[in-house]
Amino acid sequence: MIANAYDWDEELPAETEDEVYRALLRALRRKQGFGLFFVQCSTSQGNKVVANLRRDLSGQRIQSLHLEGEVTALYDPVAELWQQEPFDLLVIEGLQASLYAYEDTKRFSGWSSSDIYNYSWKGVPQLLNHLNQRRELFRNDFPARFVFLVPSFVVDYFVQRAADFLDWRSGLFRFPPDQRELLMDAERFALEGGYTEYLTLTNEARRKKILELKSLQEICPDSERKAKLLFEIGLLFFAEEDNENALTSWDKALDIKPDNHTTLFFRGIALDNLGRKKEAIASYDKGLEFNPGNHHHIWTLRGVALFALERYVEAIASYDKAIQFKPDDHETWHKRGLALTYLRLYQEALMSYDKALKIKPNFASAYYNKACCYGLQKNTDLAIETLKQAITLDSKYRELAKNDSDFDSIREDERFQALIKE
Amino acid sequence: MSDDILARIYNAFDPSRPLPAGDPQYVDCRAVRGDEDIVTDLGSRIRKADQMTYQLYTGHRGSGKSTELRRLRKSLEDHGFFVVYFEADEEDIDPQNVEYIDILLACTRRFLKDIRSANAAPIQAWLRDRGKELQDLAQMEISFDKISLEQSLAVFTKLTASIRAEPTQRSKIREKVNPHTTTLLTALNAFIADARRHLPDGKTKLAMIVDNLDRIPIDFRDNGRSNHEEIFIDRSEQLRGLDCHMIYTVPIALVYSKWANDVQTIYGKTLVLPMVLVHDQDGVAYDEGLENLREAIRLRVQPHSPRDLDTQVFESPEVIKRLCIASGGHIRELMQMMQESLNRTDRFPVAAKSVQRAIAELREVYKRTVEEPEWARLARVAEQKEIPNDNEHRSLLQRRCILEYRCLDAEGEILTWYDVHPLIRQIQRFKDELAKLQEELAKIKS
Repeated sequence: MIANAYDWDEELPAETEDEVYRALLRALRRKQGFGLFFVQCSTSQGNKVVANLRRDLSGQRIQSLHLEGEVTALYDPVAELWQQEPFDLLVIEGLQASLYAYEDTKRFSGWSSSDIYNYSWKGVPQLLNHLNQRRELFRNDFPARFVFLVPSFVVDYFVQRAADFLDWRSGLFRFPPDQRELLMDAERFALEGGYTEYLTLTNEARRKKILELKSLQEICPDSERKAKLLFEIGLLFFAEEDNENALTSWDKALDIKPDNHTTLFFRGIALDNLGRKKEAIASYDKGLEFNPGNHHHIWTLRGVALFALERYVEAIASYDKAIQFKPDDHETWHKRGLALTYLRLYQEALMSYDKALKIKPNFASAYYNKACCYGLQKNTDLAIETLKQAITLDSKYRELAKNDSDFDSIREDERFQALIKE
Repeated sequence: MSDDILARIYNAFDPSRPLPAGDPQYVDCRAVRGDEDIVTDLGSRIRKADQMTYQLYTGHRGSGKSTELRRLRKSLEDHGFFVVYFEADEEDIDPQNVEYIDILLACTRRFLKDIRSANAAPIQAWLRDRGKELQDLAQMEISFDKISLEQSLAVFTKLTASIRAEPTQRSKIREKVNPHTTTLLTALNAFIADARRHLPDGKTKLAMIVDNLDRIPIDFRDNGRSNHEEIFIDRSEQLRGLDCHMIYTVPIALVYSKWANDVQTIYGKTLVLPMVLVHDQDGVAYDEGLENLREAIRLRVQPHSPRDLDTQVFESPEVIKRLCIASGGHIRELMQMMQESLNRTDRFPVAAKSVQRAIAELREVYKRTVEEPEWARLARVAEQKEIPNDNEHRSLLQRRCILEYRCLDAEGEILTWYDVHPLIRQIQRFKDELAKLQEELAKIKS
């Protein structure tokens, strides 16, 4: 059986930086004519590689091409260099900057690119198309070695999107991540992170950050930091309103640290946004179990999820918990009023709305819902008076009132008719 | 020992160049590739046909199609054919965005380019009828009074170059030329008819090979149809409309799509170049196939060194065998792993450790190719040796995670089966998935 034969190649320990460099050097010393070489490394490792190659391949004419910003075609800049002065070896770095702006990269940066076979080629970075297309031209026109210094996600990208180009490689050299550099990077990201900052980033900047953090977490040896990075990746997706990918990131973070309440809370919000209310509540509950501190926002969100499931009694209990931590939260009082209204506990609901209005006197929607409450109680005078206050604060309530069945009992009243016709 | 010999051997394993016909490094793998051969099957159909033939050819990326097509070309030439061969994506089309009309324009250009002796009047007349508009699109001055073959060629060269590389021009050209497809076909056929009488070396038979159309990646339109379908099915009448034997390479996915039957009805049986058989369906190493791959290595080493392959070039025969098994019967990957092994070698013999590293590095690439939900799919293929006809598996086939093998069964019929790439078998994620599946299967059976 061949299955036994495969045991021959048991897991190998990773190559050291020196071993990888020597392999690269041998390849570049020996290769004649055209050849493609991919070197997966960090920026600082890349700089070192170039310096060492210049030292060790002194007989070869080495040039470098640093790409900045988006480049759609590589052939022309290479041809230009070649015309100025032919080279034996061209080091190209900075390819990654050409990928961030694309829809494809957005999909690619996600976790669940499960439907890659359905991807259209429309949003694919032009540079990759270009390389796929021009490989014969590169081969025929430049009898030289091309060394691409790339971060690991670019290699992944080539695997998926420029397989024809990658297929011609004479070697793919993976430098092991430098542990010290890695930990410093992880630390830096963890310190820099933050949802509000992520919101201000452009999509491209977020994508760049996601891809960087993703490669970083993959090789991060420290599980604490890894979980932290995964959490930050989730936040970045969340800032893009990409709940699916945010959720996957947080699930991965929780696989490592299951008791992180912040992650559990955010995970709950993402689930809630995706309409998975029950799971959202379970996630909130778990987080609250691990850390029962002052999380009034979470209690409120939990209440809203319960409300959506029409579990009003539990919703009210959750709001009460939130209010216990933060008694002056008008929103929660208001929501509590709504839940009570659904239970037809109108008196209690009115008290709740009044609490909200005491905290925020010009709270239009609280006035409106209070008016509804009166309407349901068939209390014409107060319903009309309160609705008037709501409309004065925000005229949109006039439109809402026109078709709101809560006012059916007073709809025929002249004053109501006059109010909604104004 | 000088590094010079190692360098020469290293360069003999170039993954970017198909072998020219008649190259001494060529190994005939027919017997381990399902007993079909491009020259005897596809070639003889062309030679014996009394009507024009339109045939499709496909196989995995890097399996050796272009090498095989070069052999076919040579063989046809030896049998009195004039063969126009071209790699469609080299100068004429953009695989990521291609429509039928691009292919017709490319074919026209190649005919004009390769058969200068024929009368180009019909093509010139067609160009003249298109008038000023085409001149604008080609962005060149054309004197329509006495348009020469060279000038016609220049126009088509400009058109295909624009179609290949300039997206905005591309759509304008298509829009302009599309309504005149039929007249262009007629003009081209008139040109071909004349060309047949004026072929070099007194040849009278003509064939065209369009290589690299297999590089067209599948792309789904909003209506759920694919570009493959639009080109090879919807426009098959035109693809079969040229008065000349035609061989088109097509994406391997097309042959296994839901249009497989249509494809066969339209073009006859597609010749597929499968992997070299390195193990049988039960996973038992297949010596004859391994021997073929070993020979491919030997022929590349031998011109540079008289060393014995089994003991002096490699540490032991076992090492070569491992390398060949790991390739899954894929020629280009064998070349790549050979280069990676040599990258870790300072002197002969190549050590087991170096080969092991080369294998591990390529496996790493496969690890990155497979998406999370695909592991379970791969496990099923490994168990069942067959693939359902869906996009998911076609995509895995295209990415070489699933390989196609052919062999003859006991009755001498060709048996086609599939397996996951041998490199994938060793990935832990796959092993877990396979164990899970086997456990489930065992439960069902008991």
